[in-house]
Amino acid sequence: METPLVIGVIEGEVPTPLGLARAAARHPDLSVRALVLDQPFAEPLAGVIVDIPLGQRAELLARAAARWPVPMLIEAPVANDMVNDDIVVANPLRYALHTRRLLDELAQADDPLETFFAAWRFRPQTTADHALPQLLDFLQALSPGPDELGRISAMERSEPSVLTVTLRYASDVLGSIEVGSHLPESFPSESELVVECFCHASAYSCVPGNQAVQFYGRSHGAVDWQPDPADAMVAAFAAWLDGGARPPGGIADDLKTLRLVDRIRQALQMGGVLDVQVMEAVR
Amino acid sequence: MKLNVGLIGCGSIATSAHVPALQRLTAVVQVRRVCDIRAAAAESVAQTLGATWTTDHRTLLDDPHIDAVVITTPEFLHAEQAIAAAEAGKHVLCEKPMARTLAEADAMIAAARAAGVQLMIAHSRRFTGRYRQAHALLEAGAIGQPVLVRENERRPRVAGPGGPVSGWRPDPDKDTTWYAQARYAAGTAFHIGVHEMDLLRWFAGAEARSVYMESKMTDPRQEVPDTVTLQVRFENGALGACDIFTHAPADYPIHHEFEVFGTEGMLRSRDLDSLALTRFDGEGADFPTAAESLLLVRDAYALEQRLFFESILNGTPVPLDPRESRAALELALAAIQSSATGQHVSLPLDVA
Repeated sequence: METPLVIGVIEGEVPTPLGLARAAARHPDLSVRALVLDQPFAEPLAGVIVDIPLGQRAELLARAAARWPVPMLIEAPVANDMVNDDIVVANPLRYALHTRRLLDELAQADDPLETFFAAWRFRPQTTADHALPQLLDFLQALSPGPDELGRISAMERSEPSVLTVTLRYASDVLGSIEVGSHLPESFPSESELVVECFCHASAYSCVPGNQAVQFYGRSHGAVDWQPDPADAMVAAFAAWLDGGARPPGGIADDLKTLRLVDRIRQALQMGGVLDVQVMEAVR
Repeated sequence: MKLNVGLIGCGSIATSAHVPALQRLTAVVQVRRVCDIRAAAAESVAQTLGATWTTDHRTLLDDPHIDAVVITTPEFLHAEQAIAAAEAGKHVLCEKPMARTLAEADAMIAAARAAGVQLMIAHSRRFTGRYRQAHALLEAGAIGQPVLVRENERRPRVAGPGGPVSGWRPDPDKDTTWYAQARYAAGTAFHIGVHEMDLLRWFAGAEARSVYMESKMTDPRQEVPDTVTLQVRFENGALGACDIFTHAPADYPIHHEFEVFGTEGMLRSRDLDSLALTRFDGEGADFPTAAESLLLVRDAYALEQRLFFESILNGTPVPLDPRESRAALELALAAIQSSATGQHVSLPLDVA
């Protein structure tokens, strides 16, 4: 890039845990402008980054897209059904070093997936609303898509919240998922993600918590030293604006994932099990 | 005073676990006779233990000097042999799973009660140090009330007991072991999963009320599922979850790991972090001690046997009530039923 790209950033009152705005500010090839939806802004923009909490995303993204018809980057999920291929709805799990590498490894291995286990656990006070859709989106990328899903079983409890899900795909892949805020307050990091994939001839174990700087004192903590996924998300967005490949993730992918979240909720409402193929036939 | 003991079954779990344990307990027991339908297996174990041998368990049970038997045959033989042993006045330590059905399990308990002998099912993990420590912490309220109990087990595809190629082959015209054949076995949920079912209940501290399981066969030689994933809801509100994947690559470390999340803390024993020895060579890495240190814990079998025999000598209850093992069996059977129907199955099951 010879001249910095001018990017607009829309932030909420409270910084998001992911921090796309912070990542944009530290990207060396971007020149960042703060945008406020209802205030005038005349400078041409190459793109817009929307970095706001989950609850406000759908509505604010629609307004921003109407006002600035340029490529946009926002964290998944969004839950908006607008038609706009210029919006990158990005899942951090597709950009983090370890999980992105896992996707690459599986894609290149030519070794059919047979089973997987994925757990994303959080400390009680940590915001975890994004966890299930992001994890499902990630798992769809490494396993057969939701259209091939055969059966879902779900069990949950509250205080602390825990959801366990079993997925059976038409291809005979079995998946086991666990999401919740059931880590203790004293757990050294805010969350932990565990993904195990067993293919026919190979196995992958992805436990990023092992790659953290641990500290002990009055409290015990762990600081993940892996590259921040927000940096990779912003870098991929900037590269696209500069003529590179479009980053993965869009409105349609987001809706597909949220449909799967709905199916899990349906399974819970129906007493635990949802036969997806029967549901599709009825529809 | 020593107990005179008979061993019925000289297969892989006997030679790898129970025979070494018996060799360590010579102050408490004298093995008089061993039995296996394969004469060579019986003779070999008899030599190891300094005992006589037979190929007919009824001959062993007819020996009036034998006080107790250790049954290490496949589960489809457990009920018949344990009941016959009880009726012959022998105390019984029987390998898991307890039986094939709840009716068989009930008949075993009734036979032992009627004969006034002790019956215990050998759930070795109840006697393994780390599980005992975990349970003691749970009992002491160290992490509050259980929220989620997770047990995950991983096994290489071709390794060890439970696989399609290692163990007794009852049918000469088939190239798989009894573990893999539907005529003799119900699959991983049964012969491995019953360990997890037992620990899930033990750590949750409550009875299971509902279970769901999906299963599959990852090895074309299998006639029964070798890989399962299951969910449990307990009556105290805790959830249970368990994946048993038996199709890992050959050099993957066999292991079991458990986590208990509570309202005030968590317990974790993650085996991949606990592997004491890793060997690297041109082919990659392997883990020579994984099975022995993490699954086939010899001290556990020795403790299990010692506590069983001491309870007989002292006239005290056995350390693991057979009704606990029946409950683990019931959960395994419910899980298998769920896998067949694609529905959550409620417990207790109808025995009829």
